[in-house]
Amino acid sequence: MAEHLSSLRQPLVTEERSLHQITNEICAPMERRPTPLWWAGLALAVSALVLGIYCVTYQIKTGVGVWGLNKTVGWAFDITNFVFWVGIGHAGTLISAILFLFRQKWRTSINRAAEAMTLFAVMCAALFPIIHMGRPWLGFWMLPYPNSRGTLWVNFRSPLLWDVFAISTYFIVSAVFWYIGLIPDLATVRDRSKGLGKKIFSLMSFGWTGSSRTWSRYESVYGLLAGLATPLVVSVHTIVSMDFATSVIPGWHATIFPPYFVAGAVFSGFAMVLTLMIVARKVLNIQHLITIRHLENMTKVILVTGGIVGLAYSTELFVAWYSGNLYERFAFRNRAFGPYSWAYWTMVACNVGFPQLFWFKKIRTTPALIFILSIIINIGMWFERFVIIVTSLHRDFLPSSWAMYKPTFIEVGTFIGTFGLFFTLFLLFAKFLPAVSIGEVKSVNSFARHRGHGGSSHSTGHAEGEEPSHEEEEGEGQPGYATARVKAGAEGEVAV
Amino acid sequence: MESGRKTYYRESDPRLRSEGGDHQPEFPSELSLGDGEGDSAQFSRRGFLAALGLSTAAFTAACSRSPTGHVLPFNDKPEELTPGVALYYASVCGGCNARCGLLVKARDGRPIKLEGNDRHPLSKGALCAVGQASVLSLYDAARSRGPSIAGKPVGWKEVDSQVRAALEKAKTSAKPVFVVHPPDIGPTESAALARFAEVYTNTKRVVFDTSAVGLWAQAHESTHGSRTVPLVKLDIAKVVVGIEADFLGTWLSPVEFTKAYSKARDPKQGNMLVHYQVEPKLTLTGSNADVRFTAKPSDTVPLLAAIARALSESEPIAALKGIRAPELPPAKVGKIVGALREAKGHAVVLCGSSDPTAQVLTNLINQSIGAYTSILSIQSGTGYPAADATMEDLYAALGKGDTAGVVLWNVNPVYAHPRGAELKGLLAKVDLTVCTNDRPDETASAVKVHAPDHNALEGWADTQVKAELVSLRQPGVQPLFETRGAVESLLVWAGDTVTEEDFLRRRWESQVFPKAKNSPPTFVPFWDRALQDGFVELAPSDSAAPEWRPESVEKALTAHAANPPPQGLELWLYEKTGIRDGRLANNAWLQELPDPISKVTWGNYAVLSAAKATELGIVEGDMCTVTAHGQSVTLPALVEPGVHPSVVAVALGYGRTAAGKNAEGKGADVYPLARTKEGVFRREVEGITVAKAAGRKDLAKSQTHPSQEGRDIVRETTLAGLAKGEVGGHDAGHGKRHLSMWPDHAYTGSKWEMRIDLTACTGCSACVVACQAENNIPTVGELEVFRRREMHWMRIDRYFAGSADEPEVVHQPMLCQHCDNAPCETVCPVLATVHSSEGLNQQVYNRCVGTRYCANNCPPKVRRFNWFDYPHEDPLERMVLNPDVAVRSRGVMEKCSFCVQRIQEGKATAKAQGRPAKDGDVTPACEQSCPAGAIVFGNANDPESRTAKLREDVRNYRVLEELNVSPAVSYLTKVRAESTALGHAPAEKKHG
Repeated sequence: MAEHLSSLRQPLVTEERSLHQITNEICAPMERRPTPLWWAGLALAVSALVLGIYCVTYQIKTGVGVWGLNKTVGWAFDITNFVFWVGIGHAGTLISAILFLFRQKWRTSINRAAEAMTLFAVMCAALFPIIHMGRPWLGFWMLPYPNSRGTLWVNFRSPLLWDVFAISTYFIVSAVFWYIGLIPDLATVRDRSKGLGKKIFSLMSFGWTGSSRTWSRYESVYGLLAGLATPLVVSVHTIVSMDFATSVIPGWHATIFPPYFVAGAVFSGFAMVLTLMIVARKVLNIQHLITIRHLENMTKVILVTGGIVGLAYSTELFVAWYSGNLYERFAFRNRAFGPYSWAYWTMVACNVGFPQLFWFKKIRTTPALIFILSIIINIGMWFERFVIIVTSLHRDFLPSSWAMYKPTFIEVGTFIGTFGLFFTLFLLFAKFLPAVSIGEVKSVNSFARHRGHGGSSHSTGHAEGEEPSHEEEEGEGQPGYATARVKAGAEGEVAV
Repeated sequence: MESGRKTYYRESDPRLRSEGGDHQPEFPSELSLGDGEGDSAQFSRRGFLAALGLSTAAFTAACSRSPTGHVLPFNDKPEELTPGVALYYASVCGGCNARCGLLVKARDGRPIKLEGNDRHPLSKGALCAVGQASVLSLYDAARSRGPSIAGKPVGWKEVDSQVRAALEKAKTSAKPVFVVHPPDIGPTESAALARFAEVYTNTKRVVFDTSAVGLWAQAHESTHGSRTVPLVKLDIAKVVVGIEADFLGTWLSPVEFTKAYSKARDPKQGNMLVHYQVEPKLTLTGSNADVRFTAKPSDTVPLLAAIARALSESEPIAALKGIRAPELPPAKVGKIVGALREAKGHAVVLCGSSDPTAQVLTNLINQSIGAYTSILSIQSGTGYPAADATMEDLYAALGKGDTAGVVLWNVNPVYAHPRGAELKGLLAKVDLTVCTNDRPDETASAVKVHAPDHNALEGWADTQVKAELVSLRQPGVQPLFETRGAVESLLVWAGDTVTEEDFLRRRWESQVFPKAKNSPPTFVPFWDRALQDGFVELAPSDSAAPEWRPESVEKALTAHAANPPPQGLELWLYEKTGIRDGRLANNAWLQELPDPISKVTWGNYAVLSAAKATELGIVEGDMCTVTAHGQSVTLPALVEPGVHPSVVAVALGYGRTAAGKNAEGKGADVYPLARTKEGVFRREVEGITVAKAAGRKDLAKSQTHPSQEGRDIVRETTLAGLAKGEVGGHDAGHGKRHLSMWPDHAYTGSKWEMRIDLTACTGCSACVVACQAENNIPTVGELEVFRRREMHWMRIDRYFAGSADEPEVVHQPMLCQHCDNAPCETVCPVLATVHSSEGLNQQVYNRCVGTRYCANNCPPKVRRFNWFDYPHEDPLERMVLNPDVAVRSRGVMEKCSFCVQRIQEGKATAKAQGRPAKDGDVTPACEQSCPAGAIVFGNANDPESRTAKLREDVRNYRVLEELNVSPAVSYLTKVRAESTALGHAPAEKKHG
């Protein structure tokens, strides 16, 4: 560490890197042939995806009856998976939008991948509301469009309809936000690529020139979108929670659900980001960009949101007791001690118990342990949704209808298939697009060191015979520019 | 783009265009059809037309037209037939021996539904589950398509010539021809048989009876000199003691008894018929009893003797002394005796035991409590024809080769006789074996000549239900196949060429018409009226009441050795409410009907008490082997409350091997475990063993949780409590309104509501099948029921309370509650379930996309989802579908519609008559069929309607009132005449 850096402020890029080096490092996976590890990962993901495609095709061909649902438990794996994936999709926008607005600079190296993760997770999630329908080919009836069926319209009282709006809005805004953020990097890639790639990236980067004016406009758009995306982080899972909260079923009918679900979503989303990033930083060899500090920050978010989730669990129990409502009390007694108590205690252990280990700095800074805990949290959060959905439904008001639910191979296969879809998309993303925001990471580079060693970087860049791109210009042609941006950013004038 | 000029920019706003250099039309056409040069269109006019022609040709060539169907009017329309309007024919039910009166609802010439005949004096418009389901058996694909000889289809001429030749040959030999028939053949059938016996003098009649029905008649022959089952006027009884008699479910005439029973137990009268039941296993009847004891079947005779002894203390009957004391504790026996003694002249004992001694003792008790002068009437009873020989005689004759022929007339002894397997071999040795069963079943496939009879809905018949009541069965449809009435067959073989109808009509003219009460002067109007009514009442005979013969008791008891109480386990073979003796085993509606007690569908099982199961290390679903006199049957176990610890109960009627795909392989055949003694089929078997066997079988139950969990679902009270104003339930101030998010519905016209009286409801499940028949509800099969996906819109919830030994049972019909604030309606994203202006919660199948949120949010969980396509594949079985109700496709939610098609029909009828619909114009299928009259449906906005009046009843309450869903269905608190001796508080007082 250079002694002239603040001792309070840890560097976000822990190793000495020139701007060009950063470009090279982030673009490297796109420009080299895929590694055997990538191929192996893709093969595994595609296999899972194929299994999922088989299961979904079979189910749509035969009927929802191929799942283990029954007259009492009308939703189980389908909606559990839906909420699980939507929850995972939360971290991306939270990182990119809210942390952006709060000027949390450490987000820069992870926001791209987290946003991509969000998009892919929402895609996986969106699958379930469609395939869980008895007649999925009529799914478009959920959309309020003018039609020739007279006064036939959608039911604006139904939370499922709110879901349609919430999820589609969230997906569109997240996708736009993500893509806008990608444009400068796409231009970088364009400038570095040849042939067909160049054409494609030219098209994708919308003629980005890297001029100050472009940057200025870009930054205001990005800031606006961040503002637009921020309420969605809260709204999406609030509305998902209303699928349950607005019902009459004991265990679902609870006013605590919106904040509880949002906290849970952030909790699970960060766990998933950690799962992915810990692997990605290793595989892509960018440990100095996605640093231990990043990981630690995320574990801290997990600790907080996990605490909220734990509080919500205990509040639910308290309210069930305090309400004096026979059905409520039974629903929670049944959760904890009924036939699905194993799922409940798995949930409690994974979501409330294990995350407490993050109080220890040693664990917060050991990627392998964080990885294991993130997986545990993901499992726990899946079970949380399973517990909410299945244990509430399977024993509700009339004991005559009480029933048990058991998933079938098709349901499990579909769930595995969504992981296949998710990782297939993520692997393709990591291969074909810059997984870390090049432009933004540069802005948090340690220029104090850079000034001392700028010369070598310059000569290296030109020695490789590359045409100076806009970043090159920023970094080398106009060395003052990026620095100025960073300074300005620190002063809060320009949003980066 | 015009050549030669560079277009820099084109303003899209037409208002700005005029400032531009070039002239553009105001509305530029995207696709110009002109040929002019410089036109932006790529196509010339010709080219466009050519492309249009080609693409049209390509489209039409690629698509095939949907198949064309033609709707043709009748060339020669039958006078009474209006397409779309149902016709009703009065007839007689063929489902069981009770022979209730019914109306056959036929649409466009095919029967689609059976309804009770409301004019019928006994069944009074009601029908049981079996009767409701029997219409499906008309369209059973497993029925024979025509006669066959040695399995080869032949014509009737061939059959007749062969049978007649064989009969002539038999006549010359000295060997007898046995005609085996069921116990309940009607007068015309008897006449045909008599005619047959007249021609073939070597005929011997054998009655094949696996029910104890004929046995009671037989007992009356010895005690009263009349082979009659008396008329039981249960409606005027104050105490009824049922011993092994499931008279509300399967015994004798359940519909008739349920009608009378619910009438006698109406708490409005201030007193109720008190019902005592002693039985080895909880039956439907036992589940309704006020006081119920369990006893071993071997305890029946000692118990009856003890009761008789106690009642005849003043003049002891010597013969009773020899019989041991019952194992039932004296306090319990004393309770029964006390009740009988107190209600002398208003009490009756009904015994379903298949021990002839028990039946004689029952008669003795009924005689001593004066039942024969009040409740029981032998003169008005049902006569049972005596047989010339017993089944044992038939076996003996067959064994000796001393038989010229066997005619099996609608009986299936190869399946249903304990020695049926043996019979199959014996029949093969006989020259002439004829069977008239409707399908190549176990017996029909073991004979040479199969001459299938009509289905009950295709043929003519009559039945002497009671001495003063003859019912007439007329066909509801032309025979579907080349079948022939068995009566006609017998007559043809006897040399008479006469149709079934003519023979019957002629007999009615000569025999019935002269005896009829209030008959028109000539036969034709009499006949027409009989056809319209479906029955004829005969003038009461003036014969004196038969005298009691005290010596008969002594005779019966000397036959009954003073056995010590048997040790070990006893087997009790019972009939389930749906499948009964297995006659209609291929009926999918009955197979899928949950047993009212066990809620198990599609099979039978060994019912054990919890104590015995623990002792044997058996849990529900474990396979176990029941062995009796060397015969073993392996079947799954079921642990049930209310079973005597020394009893294993197994239902008959399952394990058919040749009855059709729905029956075969379902359950196990336990007829071989039964035995016959002195020609009597005995259902009680002593000295059996039960052992755990390998494997398990999951029982397909429609309800798995037995308890109400202290919830306020079924409210109960006692008659004494009701008098004090106790109506059960948590809150006395029911009916108070809570705040609601949505504005209330305004019901300016009708508001359809339903009341269900839990006191009246016995749980007989007639409504379940009636609903299934009316609403085209598919059956889903054993595995799907196990997965809890049965489709019944109407179900009966059954809850146990109290101890496992002395359980109290409640039955609660549960259907869509048609809530005013329906939770299902708000959550459907596509508005596929909506509220009608008349209070109906309507399901729009076409709009439903199947999110199932409505079902999840339904508090009583009455919504049913089409998990798969449940196709009505068989073109024959498809004929039973009700054309007024849509058949649902997969992925669609469905549920009770309050029979909206009937509401519309009722309103249309009223409108056609120029009057508003009044109470009774609309009767949903469940209410129509209910033998107990427990269901009342109507317009609650009409203050004169029964629903409106019952709403004010103190017992009226709504299930899950506290949710403020405001259901249109309400229930009336169940009132018990008294709580059981070992009972508990009438209502669970737990408060959450």
